[in-house]
Amino acid sequence: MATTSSTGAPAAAPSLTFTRPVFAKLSPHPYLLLSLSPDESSSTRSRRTNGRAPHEARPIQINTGSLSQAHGSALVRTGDTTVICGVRGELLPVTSIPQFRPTPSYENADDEEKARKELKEYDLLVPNIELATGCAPQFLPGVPPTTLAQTLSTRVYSLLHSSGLVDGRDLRVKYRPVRPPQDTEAMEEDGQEEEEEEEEVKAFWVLYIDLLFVSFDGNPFDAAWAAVLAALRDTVLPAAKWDADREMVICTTKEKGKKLNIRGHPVPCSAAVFLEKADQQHQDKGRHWILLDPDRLEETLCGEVITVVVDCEGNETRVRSLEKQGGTVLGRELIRGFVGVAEGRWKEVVKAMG
Amino acid sequence: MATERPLVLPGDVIPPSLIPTSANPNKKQQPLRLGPGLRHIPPSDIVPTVAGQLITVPHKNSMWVEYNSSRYTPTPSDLVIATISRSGPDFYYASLSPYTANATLPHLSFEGATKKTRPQLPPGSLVYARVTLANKHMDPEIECVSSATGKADGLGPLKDGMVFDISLGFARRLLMARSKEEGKVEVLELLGEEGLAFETAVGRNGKVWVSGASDAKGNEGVNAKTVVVVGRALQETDTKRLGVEQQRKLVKKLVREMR
Amino acid sequence: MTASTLPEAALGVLPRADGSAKYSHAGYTVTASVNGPIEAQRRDEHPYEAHVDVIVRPAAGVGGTRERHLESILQSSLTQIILVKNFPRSLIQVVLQVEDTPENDYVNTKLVQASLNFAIMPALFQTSVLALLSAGVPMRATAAATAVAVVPEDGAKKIVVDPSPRQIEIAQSVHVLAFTSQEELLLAESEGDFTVKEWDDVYETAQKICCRPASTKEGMEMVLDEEDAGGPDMRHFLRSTLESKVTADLHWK
Repeated sequence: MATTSSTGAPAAAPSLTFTRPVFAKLSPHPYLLLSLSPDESSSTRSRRTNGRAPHEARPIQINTGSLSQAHGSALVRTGDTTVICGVRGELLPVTSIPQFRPTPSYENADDEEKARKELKEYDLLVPNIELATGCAPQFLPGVPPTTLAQTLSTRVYSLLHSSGLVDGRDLRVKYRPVRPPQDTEAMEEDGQEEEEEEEEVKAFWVLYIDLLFVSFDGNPFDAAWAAVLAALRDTVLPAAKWDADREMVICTTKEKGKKLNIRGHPVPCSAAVFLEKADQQHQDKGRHWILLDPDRLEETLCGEVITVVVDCEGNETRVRSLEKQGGTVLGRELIRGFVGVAEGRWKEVVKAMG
Repeated sequence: MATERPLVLPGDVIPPSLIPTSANPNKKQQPLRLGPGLRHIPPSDIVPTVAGQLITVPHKNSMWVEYNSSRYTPTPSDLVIATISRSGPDFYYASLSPYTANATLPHLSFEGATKKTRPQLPPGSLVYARVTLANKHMDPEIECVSSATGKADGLGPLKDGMVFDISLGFARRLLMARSKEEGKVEVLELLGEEGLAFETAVGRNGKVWVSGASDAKGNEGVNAKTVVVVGRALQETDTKRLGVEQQRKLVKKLVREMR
Repeated sequence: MTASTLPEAALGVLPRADGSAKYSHAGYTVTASVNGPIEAQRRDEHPYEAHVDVIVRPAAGVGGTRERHLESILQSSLTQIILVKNFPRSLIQVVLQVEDTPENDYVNTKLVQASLNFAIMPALFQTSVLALLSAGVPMRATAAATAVAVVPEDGAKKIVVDPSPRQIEIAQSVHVLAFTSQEELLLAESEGDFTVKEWDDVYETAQKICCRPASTKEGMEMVLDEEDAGGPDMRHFLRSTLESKVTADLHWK
């Protein structure tokens, strides 16, 4: 009997064999465990329930510029996780920033550093994440943003700032005052100021980065960040000028807009740790698997998760963020090894981004 | 009692020298008994789960962690003071500690209770009961009668009086058979010596019930002052961690204030 | 070395809660209360384990997305060290109130709180562990956390323990690591720009602080160690705090 049972339940006799979906629903943990640890005798390799090998990520597809109304957009699909990101710039005149303090650029040599602070201080990057109703069964309509959505937007926000992805100087709308007409009276007044008029910042672009999960099947952060990155790289802000007479910023379509300067290519790579025993507490007791790019079923069964954001553009891999929580399996050696896995993922994602 | 009492924290490794082993091979080997605060990880690790003093009693082959806390976890055969919260068709639902699942108390588990003679307890009444079933997956069950003898043995509804909250460690000390010698609690004896007449019942769930005793004529006049003084004395001894000498002073002071 | 004061803690500061602790270190003061195991709400009920609910209240304003993120990090870490399987269908609630922070949350009258605050994490973590111990909630192990920053200094990189807000601002990378008393890495959060090699150094520094082996002979060795690691000895601190609590509780023994 034991030999025949593996070929499937006989149709006639009432059997205790379940179909795969029923087994997965009833006892997900043994279901995943069984497929990860096949019989010694059989030749099948360790596979996850979704058919992937433990260290295999889903292929990523990235489309940019699909939203016509946004200044930049991207649609990212990894397996059944689909997220769409739209970037829209809104002008924020400095007069409506209560805490705005104009600092002439010559005062501080490090203009770049200052621009970075501006981003943070005036909150010029506003990411928002929405998990659409129906993208996965656990998201119900008409409820306040879930903890997951809030956590994700904090993580995206933190990484946007800590990675310095957007150059704050791109978001300034500057104006170089024209010398007053060669009026005699005015000449007398301006006589003391010999040096050339400085450029002054009249407005900022605020980038509203909206993310919408169309479909949710695990690993939201990787998909969300890839979408943010692709959308920002796609973003073209219209040419904007300060009109001194009307005292407002005018956008023109005649001039070509400018592309944002995106620094670096930070790409996240996430994994979850699946333990052999659900209540396993020590590393040395029982086996564990590191499942790259977990899907929704796997995420519900795994406690420990890790996300490493790497950038391999230079000759040395730079880690831009590392988050590991919820367990004690991943120690120093495993995390070090995982950075290598993340490097592989980086290549895939950058290739998909084109 | 010169044995070592080391401080243990959760997850600490207990030195094997402290784990009692049956020294006498001739005697029938008693299994090692683990008390509260310890857990056994098969095959042979014994790990503390709370912070406290590790106590080992070699001749009884048992060990536990002595600590104080204020959240009661039901354990079978503990004596508890429960508050009836409502009555169902066959059970009373009684609360042992705030915000936890109610314990069930069968209507018939009182001395001599039948369908007709069972005590009618409105919500809020107190019972002194014994825990019969405590399982992490089920709500606890309590009884007010010994199922073996059918006698109440002092259990049952508590009339009049007042309940005071105390810490679990203090409740344990009060319930010790020799609370004066081992637990260093003398406050009740001292109050009695001062001429106060009262009754108490101590629940392991951190509650103590105090009632003024009925006088010789059977007059159930509860002396409210006595109740309050006894309750205060107990609570202060607990929270201020008073030693025997300080308990004596406290009792003198409270009795003086009362008169 | 900045004047890093030693951590201070008091247990059982809130008489009505099952357990409580007040902890201050590196400019942060946090008070925590722990209640439980108590009855869980229907939606939080788990049939096989206790639900750990963490609530973080900031020093100024109400909690926002940043607090939700901190809560989820703490929740997943504390669930690991509490023996949640002992209390199915119940709830263990940890409430953390930040009382004092070295920086002002109000920058230019606007409340800045969207970005994750690394420096506060160790204080929140430590306080919740102390409060759990004070409540006598059964745990698998104790744990300790620390914040470390890599700060550029004269062209070289320097590892700073318990960085100040100013140091975090100029730091190349900031890290928070937590270890259980069995020296397992429980939590690792890093941001900035660093290499694996740098992370390794950070790991070693943090491990020294969180899990210095209990020195059997106090005296000369201890003093030398203190200078060597340049940071507080969290394990020793935890033990001595608990020791005074236990001795006070068991004064009658």
